[in-house]
Amino acid sequence: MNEELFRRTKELFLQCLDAPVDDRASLLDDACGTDEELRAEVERMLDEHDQVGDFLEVPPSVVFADPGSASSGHRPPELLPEELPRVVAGRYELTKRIGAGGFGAVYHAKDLLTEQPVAVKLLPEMSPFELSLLRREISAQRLLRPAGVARLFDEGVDENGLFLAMELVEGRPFPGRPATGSWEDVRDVSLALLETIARVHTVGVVHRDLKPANVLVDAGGRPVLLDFGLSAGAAIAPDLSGALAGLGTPAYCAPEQLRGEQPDARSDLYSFGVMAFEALAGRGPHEAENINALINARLTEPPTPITELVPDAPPHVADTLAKLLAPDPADRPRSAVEALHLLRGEDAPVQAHALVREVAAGYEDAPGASFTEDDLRSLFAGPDRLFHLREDAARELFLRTDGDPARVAEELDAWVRAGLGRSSGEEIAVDRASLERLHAGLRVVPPRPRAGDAADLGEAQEELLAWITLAWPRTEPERLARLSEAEPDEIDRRLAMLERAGAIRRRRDGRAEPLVTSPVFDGAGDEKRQELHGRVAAALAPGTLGRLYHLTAAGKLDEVAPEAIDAAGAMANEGRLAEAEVLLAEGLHTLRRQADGDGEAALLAEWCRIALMEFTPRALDRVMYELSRTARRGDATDRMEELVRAAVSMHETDADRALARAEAIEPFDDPELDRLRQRVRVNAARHSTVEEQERVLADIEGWAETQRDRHIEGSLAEVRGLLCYRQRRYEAAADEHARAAELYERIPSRLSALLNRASSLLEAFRPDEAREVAEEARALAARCRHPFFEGRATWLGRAARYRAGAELAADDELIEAVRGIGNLDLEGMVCRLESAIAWRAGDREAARSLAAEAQRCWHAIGSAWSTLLCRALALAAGAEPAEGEVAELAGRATSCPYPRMAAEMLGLLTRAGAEPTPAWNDVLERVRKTVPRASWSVRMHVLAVSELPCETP
Amino acid sequence: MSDDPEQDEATSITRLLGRLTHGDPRAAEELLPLIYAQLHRMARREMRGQRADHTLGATALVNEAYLKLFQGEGQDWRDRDHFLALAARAMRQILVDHARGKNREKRKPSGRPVPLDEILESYEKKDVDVVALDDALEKLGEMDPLMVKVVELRYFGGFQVKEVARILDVSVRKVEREWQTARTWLRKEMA
Repeated sequence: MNEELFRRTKELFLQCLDAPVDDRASLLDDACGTDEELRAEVERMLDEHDQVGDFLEVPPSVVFADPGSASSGHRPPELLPEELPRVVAGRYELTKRIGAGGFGAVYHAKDLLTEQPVAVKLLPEMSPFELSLLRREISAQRLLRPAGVARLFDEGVDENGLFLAMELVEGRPFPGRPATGSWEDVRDVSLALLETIARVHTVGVVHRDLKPANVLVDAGGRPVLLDFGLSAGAAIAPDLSGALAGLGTPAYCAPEQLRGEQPDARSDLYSFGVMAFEALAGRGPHEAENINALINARLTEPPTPITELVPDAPPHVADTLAKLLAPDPADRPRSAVEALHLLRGEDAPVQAHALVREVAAGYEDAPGASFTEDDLRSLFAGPDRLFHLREDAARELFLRTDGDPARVAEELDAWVRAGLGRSSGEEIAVDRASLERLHAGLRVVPPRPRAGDAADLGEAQEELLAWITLAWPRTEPERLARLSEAEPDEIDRRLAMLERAGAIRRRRDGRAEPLVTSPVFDGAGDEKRQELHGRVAAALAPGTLGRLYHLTAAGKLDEVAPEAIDAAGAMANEGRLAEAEVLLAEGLHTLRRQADGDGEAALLAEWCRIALMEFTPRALDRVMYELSRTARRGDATDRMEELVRAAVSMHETDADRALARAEAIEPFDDPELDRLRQRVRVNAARHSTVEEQERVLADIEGWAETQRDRHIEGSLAEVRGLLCYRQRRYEAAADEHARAAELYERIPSRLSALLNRASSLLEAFRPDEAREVAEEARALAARCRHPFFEGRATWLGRAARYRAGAELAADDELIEAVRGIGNLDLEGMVCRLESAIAWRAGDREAARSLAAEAQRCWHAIGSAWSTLLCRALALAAGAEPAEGEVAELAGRATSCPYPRMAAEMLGLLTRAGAEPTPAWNDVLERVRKTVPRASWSVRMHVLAVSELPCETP
Repeated sequence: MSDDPEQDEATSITRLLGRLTHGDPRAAEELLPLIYAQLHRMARREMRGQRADHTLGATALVNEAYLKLFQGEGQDWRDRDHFLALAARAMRQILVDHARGKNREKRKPSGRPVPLDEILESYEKKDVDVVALDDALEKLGEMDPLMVKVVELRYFGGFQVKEVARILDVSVRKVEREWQTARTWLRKEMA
């Protein structure tokens, strides 16, 4: 074919396409005349055109969600209204579009598994680079389980592309009401939002797109943060159509963001400032007619002072807003926590002193008397239950102050300044993480020098004083002797001299407490300090609390990773998992700050080991977050991440994906990590079919033979126990777990085995034994300060008593504490039990509200049947059913694969007015057959077999 | 000259792109082999683990190359367009070369296929013979070079119609027509 012919063919072809089909023949007659060749070509093209379909239409790509499958590589899947409803991942039915974020559209959807509404976001296809950015943000959102942030339930890939399933938040954009010009009206919601932002920043995440549309205020006036950092990915990757996608709505962007610089936490604060300003005054701090003018104004003009618009605004509010809206980030508050103090109008130091004075005033004894450790507890906010916050805070405080009121006030003040605690009404709130840091000796609050006390102490004494300052609070004389390389007698002499000079105080246990700073530090350069810290580190045995801090301060970076690993490992084996985490985090962040990546992989491996030992969603999310942030991505970290993802998915998503994920991971070279891989595999199999579980178990048993390791044998026993449990052979399960508990040496593993044993005993209708085991577990967990395990053990003990028929009183404290753990499964179980207890006690209102809360928890995890059971309980306690709901639920209950649960549902629904039908007989018969008569009076989740309805003839 | 050859290459690419934007047509010739090398290297890298949800395709590679080279900085959009257009062509060449066996990589000992194999397979699954397509495009290129550019950008670069219009500096309607005609003609030719 030549060029000329082609050109003419093309021209005619296109003309024909434009013309009505009937006219084509005459068109060709006119244009071609006698040129048969031309006509033939055009006709062939037209023929071909009818069949071209989607040939070449979309470039292919391979998506590795399931190995071996290929997707059709769709572009941004924004579904048109005609395409709805559409089911995603076989589970979420998208019904209506509710918004378009910077990175994809959001839909109202129904979770077909739990029948509850969720929000589903569909994301456009993206490059691996963008995907890894997104991954980071996703793990950030998973990490943020506590209130104030929309929960992320599920994420994955289906043929539409990537999707995220999130909590559906119903509410109005911040502040949820029109501006009234009164600070009182917006204060609570603004502070709540700032608290949430502070929490988010604490885990190192920046939102980058704060605006009213991303903060919905629910009916209770609580703000919930949405669209979490997802638009952040787009802010970095340029969108191919030339615009900078997802820059954030300019109206709420900080000036530096508008200039294209990378936003950080202070940019979030600016955006918050704009929102708060607007909430109060009804308009923003800059006014302009259009977006461009607004951007201009934001970049060049100072913000309007709030007092110009709201003259009555309290001065501290006006000041804080002005600070938040400072064009230069350096002029803004340094952190959300600081901003909170400012906005609250607090002056933290005054607060601490006032508190202490108040507490002191409450004591009959003469003022100036010391506080005991117990006294100090009332200074702190709880809960003590499961978290032991007050008692531990009081102990740390006492350790550092001996109970002297003036020093207590000073120390508390220092804690608040350092961000370890914050004012919470009339108490100081110190969270678990801060307590662990205080206990681990990492956060050393330095003594404040008293002016003018640098009397001439003598060189040796000055040096000793320097050691005391550095090593505090581990300043036992023996240690000081080692540090200064002197004889113990000599040390005693010098300490006496220092004490006489008022430079130190001796504690009852012999430790020396510094009261002034040593002149050695005057003008001491960094090098000198580093050298001193180095010597302290050298004098401490590896793994000693505090050594890590000194190594870091000494700049001995190559020792940081091994120390962190050793110390954390030792802590973890003893069950002190929170402390272990703190040590690892310190080590990791030190390494990252110094940009030395080598120790990171080893550290992360240890962290994985510990997180997988603990196996709670929180711990797993945390390590996954750290893994996703590592600069040195490599084969090892990728596989660790996959391992942790597989573990995480067991807590939240459908079964199959967990096992497939776990099995897709290649064996590790590191034997410890590989053992974990096997363990994760076996755990994942629990959520698959029984056949799969048996297959995996057989496979692992073969592998375990080659290992000859007590811990592995224990794991196997535990896994067999879990399989038995699943097969409803509860007695056998209990025995296997008992064996596992004996074999395990590491405390967290023992705890897990004990708890599983108690669970099995419970299901085997042996509540008294279950209670004993649960109590043993609880005591152990309390010693380890492990809120989640302690919570589970407490619940088991209480459930055991309930099942044995005890009349129990409500335990509101427990419910409150469990909420703080952030584990939905546990929360659901506790609320359900407490609901049953309330119901038995006749408190129907409490029973209903607790049942509803449990229902919400189960729904969030996707446990459909547990959700149903809770609803049945609520109805039995007098909840108002929807039209035909009771009969409908009864119908569904008969198809529940867990007979006992099904029977309980039916029993409860009877009390809500359901009429037994023959369809129920199967279920009821089966339960009566499989449960021994002797156990018919023992309760199950709520009801006992003897309380079930009889079969219908 | 730094110690890092990849960095040097990136600098050269940027420099050449600048020249291209300023109207130097020879810059394209120099650029193409560099971009080819870049993409080829990326495509050769073995995939690590079986990363779930990992999207791989010609378009993804092109995107990734772009991001990697320019680190997402605010590039002159014309430079970027040129780069992407050339990358699309380079991608076509890479795939065809691989299919023709010129650069057939040995299977790694673990038996895992390298990305290019996977990508080629994904084309086969859609009944597209890359070699035949390339031959057809060669032929078409002798008669209508613009049409071929449209195909490269759409199919190997993964650009949307309006993006193609911008890059080639023609109207959207023209792109649509060209694309329609091209697909028809190619299908006919490859039958």
